[in-house]
Amino acid sequence: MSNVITIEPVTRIEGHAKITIQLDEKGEVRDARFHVNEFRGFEKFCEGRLMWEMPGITSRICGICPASHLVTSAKAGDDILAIGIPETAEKLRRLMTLGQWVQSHALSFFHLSSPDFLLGFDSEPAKRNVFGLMEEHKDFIRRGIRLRKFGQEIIELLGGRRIHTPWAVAGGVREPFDEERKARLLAWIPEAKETARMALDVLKKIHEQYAHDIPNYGNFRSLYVGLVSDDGGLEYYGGALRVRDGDGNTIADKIDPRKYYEHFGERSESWSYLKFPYYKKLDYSRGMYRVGPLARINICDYIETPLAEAERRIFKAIAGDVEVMNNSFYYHYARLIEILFAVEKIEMLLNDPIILGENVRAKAMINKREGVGVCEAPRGVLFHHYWVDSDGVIKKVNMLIATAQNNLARNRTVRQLAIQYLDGKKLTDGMLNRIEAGIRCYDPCLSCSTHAVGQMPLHVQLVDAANNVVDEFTR
Amino acid sequence: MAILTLTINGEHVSGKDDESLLDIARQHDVHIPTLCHLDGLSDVGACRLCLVEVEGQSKLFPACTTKPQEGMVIRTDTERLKKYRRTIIELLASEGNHQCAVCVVNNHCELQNLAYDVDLQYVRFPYLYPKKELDATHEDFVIDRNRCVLCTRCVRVCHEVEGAHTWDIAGRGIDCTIIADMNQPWGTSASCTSCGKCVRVCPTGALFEKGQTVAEMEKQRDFLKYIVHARQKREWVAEQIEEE
Amino acid sequence: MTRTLVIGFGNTLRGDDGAGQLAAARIAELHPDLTCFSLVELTPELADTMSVYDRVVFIDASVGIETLRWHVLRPSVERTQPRSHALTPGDLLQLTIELFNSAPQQVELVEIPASQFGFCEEMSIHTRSMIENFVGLFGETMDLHAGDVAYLVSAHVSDSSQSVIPSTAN
Repeated sequence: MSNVITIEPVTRIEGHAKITIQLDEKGEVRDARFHVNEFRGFEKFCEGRLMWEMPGITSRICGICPASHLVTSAKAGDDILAIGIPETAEKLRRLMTLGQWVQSHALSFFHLSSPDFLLGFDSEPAKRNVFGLMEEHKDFIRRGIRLRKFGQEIIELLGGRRIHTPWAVAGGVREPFDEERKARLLAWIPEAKETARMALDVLKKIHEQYAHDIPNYGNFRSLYVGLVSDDGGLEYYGGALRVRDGDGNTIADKIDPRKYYEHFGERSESWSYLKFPYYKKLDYSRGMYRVGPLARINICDYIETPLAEAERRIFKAIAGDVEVMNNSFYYHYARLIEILFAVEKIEMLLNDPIILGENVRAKAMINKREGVGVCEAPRGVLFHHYWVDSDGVIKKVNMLIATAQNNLARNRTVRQLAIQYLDGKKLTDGMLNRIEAGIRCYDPCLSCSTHAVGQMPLHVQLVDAANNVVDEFTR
Repeated sequence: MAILTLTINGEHVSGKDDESLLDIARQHDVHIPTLCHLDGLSDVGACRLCLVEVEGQSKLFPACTTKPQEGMVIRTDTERLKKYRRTIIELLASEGNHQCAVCVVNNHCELQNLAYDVDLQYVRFPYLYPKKELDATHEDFVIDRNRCVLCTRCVRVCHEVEGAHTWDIAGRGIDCTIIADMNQPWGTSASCTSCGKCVRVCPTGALFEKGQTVAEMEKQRDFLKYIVHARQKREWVAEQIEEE
Repeated sequence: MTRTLVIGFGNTLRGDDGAGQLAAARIAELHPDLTCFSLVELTPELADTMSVYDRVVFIDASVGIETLRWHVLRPSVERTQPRSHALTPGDLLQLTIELFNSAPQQVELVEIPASQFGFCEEMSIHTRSMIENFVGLFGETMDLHAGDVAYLVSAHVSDSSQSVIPSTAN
């Protein structure tokens, strides 16, 4: 006799998902699954369109990180044109990518995750949100909002105010930058830096406070995948792929992103529309990998900006001898290090005279039949792969998205938390809160991989082997 | 040539007998929506947007191809006409695949502007979602038949102004389509001079320059007046055209 | 001079859901001096933006209503739990007041009736006409001081429906 516990849908993540916890005859957790029940088919309806239109189409995949899809799509276009883009255009695209990081990471930490830490996992759900936080942590929330606004402003000032901007194009970007906008963004830097530092201080206290809980938040070895720069530094736009294992060994390095499909495969499971990518050189059971902030900090050898590099060293010290952090709770720490890096790097980019260059767009004809674009989106490495005919008409599209790449690890995290916190056949708030918090480590964005639907209340069901509902509540 | 007097929307106006009702209306600041008409090209009365009512006649007349007659009484903005114009735009919208959000001429599109003009609120007809060809074989230009409204401006400019007659129409009724030469890929056309006039006169995003991205293409159509003026009058004066 | 911010939100690729965005865009056309945002969703940094305006008008699509609803949002609204990256106008007002200490004098929520949410860019006839209806009415409230708008709008709120269409501006 076995029971299935269903948590549906998970709140405070983007999109719509449900969780089932599979119990065995003894009432112990056998497996946990994070289902994605929506399907979008974006790849299919791009077929027959022109390669040049793809940035405009694919930036509509997501309202949360459109800039990452935009830049990645434009890079796939560059590859099909087989050209190098003007230096100014590359710097501007880098600027936008970092703006997307700041905007997205700030929301993930300050709004979605911090209520769990600052108010406690066992606090009342109705209060465990950003409003509950305001009573005691007003300055913290205000700063978080301002930081996100800074990231948003970078995207708006570069690409226009509308969220789905087709500003980046195959061959570069559509418009040069100017002094006025540069000055507006530079004015934000001191405040943004201070906010990033403050958030790090807060998180370090959280680490102490929850020292007992943290080891259960997806603490297991896996592979880590992402971009690193040519000499191994933290990368977000260029460079090549690196795969590092949970013991700190670099098992593959300098992989040309264009050859990603030689290294990564995808498997479908009948119970989810979201596929399960894995590292092909190992089998499916051992090929689980994580992407995103935790992976990026784990795989890089250094960070080029001083404040973030100092934090990275602390991060490595916590990780211990293997110098790889295998605990998903540290996604938050990695995310904050990345915010700090992004702010420092944005300042460097803005102060680089080349950013005001007039030459921002290279033109060429279709020179290759396929192209791959890659970029580090806030949630992890993002691939766009297009196949075209000799005239640039899209024949096939494949997109490999961060939320999908973390799919195996996210399931594993849910399972670990369920094993640790499930007590008998009753669903406790504390357990559900922790599972949700475990999922939020990855900041999953399901609208990207499938389809965003509105908000629904949390519905939890406990079903026994005979399909009788033995426990149920709605939040 | 004779001067005639007629009435448009209750106003007494005068015009020459070799002008169209559309010309005369415009000279007197009466706005009549058009789509297939373009200054510099012959008129074919294809789109039917410029239909006007003539007193004493039950049928409607396209203003672009109708000549004035002495004492004609014309109305250009009755409720019946407005209803028909809206219906025409609705039919155009439902017959093609017009996805403004990802179109190269978004915000610079004559069809889009007409939809605003006729106060298009809702398309009452089912969308046909026809399967249409996108031809990107030409080195510089693309024809996306999903966005074509069959105004035939491209056919006329190619024949009348460029003299190449690359474009023509094949098929009948709902199957009508613009073809290059003997219905072959544009890039293989022997007659096409790659002058780009068809691209500039196209009112929608059906013809556009390769490499253009969403909402990026703005079409300059004034060149046509200049060329036609130069050809007919043997005068090469840009200023005069601008003043007009 | 009342500083007014208009925020219309919704998804223009889902039929009537885009009503708020379209309404805000229409107001931007007719009143170029106003700040008008057409957004897919409400995000927290709007709280910072809102804090420097006197009057903020949110426009959203709403199911299950036949006619326009025009509410004055009060700061004491019940706190709702933001479940996602998206917030409600009430959430934003709350954030503005508590975090930025200078809330707008007047925050309004306009709900436009909506019924069709298919994958298309067109809206139903009723929704379109309600948008135009609202845009016209909004124009009449333009020259009023924020406090007067509150009076105008609240004076028409009936206890049963909590909705209002301001008839004229006098």
